Amino acid sequence: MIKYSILFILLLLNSTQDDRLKKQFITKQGQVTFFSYTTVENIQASNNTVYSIVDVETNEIAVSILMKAFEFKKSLMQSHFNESYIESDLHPKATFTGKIIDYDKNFDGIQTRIIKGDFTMRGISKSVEIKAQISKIDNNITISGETQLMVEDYKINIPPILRPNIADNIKVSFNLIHSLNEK
Amino acid sequence: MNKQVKLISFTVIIVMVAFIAYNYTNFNEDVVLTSNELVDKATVHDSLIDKSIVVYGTVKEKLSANNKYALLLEGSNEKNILCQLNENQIVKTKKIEINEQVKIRGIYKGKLSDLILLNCELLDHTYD
Repeated sequence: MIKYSILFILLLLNSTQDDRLKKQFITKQGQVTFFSYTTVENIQASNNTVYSIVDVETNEIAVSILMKAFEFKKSLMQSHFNESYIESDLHPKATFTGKIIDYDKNFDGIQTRIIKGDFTMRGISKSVEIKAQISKIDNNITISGETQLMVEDYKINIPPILRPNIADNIKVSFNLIHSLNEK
Repeated sequence: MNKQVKLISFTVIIVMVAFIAYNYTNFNEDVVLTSNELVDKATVHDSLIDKSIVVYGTVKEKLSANNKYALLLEGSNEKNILCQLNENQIVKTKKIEINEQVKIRGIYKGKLSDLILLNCELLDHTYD
């Protein structure tokens, strides 16, 4: 009897684990791009190794961005970004944790939803609300959209001589194509 | 006296050139590791960040999204190695099969759920 009880508990735990995984979608190749526009110069960088996980049962989303994985057209810009502005050795990651409001997991097609959460960069967290398009096609969940980040919110130190080169508002675009977590 | 100054200046210049050349050579030298060794080292410290790494490993997954291609190499302790490939490697990548052993050079950038290597190029399809 004890043997059957243990077996039942193990099966239950196993199925709970399977159920949890069936509700999670991940990507290791999410794309985040930022763009700074000024009259002096335009700066653009792209990161294609963003990690994101979505739970369609709780509608929670967690995103991790490795700052050193942003690629610039000019290597000098990349070293200024990592060494002077973001201080990537001290703050290697930016993260977002939040919740998709009113997401309907059973709807196949595109939904426009607000994602509320906290974006953390350089150790500073700010509450943000982002409008995003969420599509579910062929068991992939794609979340895309854009938002604006204020440079001063994250205490990014820009030398006065370079101030005209960098916008106060940085446009951030994202395209996260998640597939079912089968791990 | 004039000769001595010239000799000292010449020696200083030689030493400086040798020092710069030594550092330059070391800076560009690849660190050669197996995927397990890379995961173990990167877990302990961050000294490999921004270094050129040659890694030997087994292909666990082939990934593509947003016109970018990557190979996921099997690691250890639930951490794998994500190698994002240069555009000129796409044709080579298509010939790679899951569980194939490969040799890849890339720049190590740090770790999230996996270790991340950028600007990767395939050096070999099998172990030497």
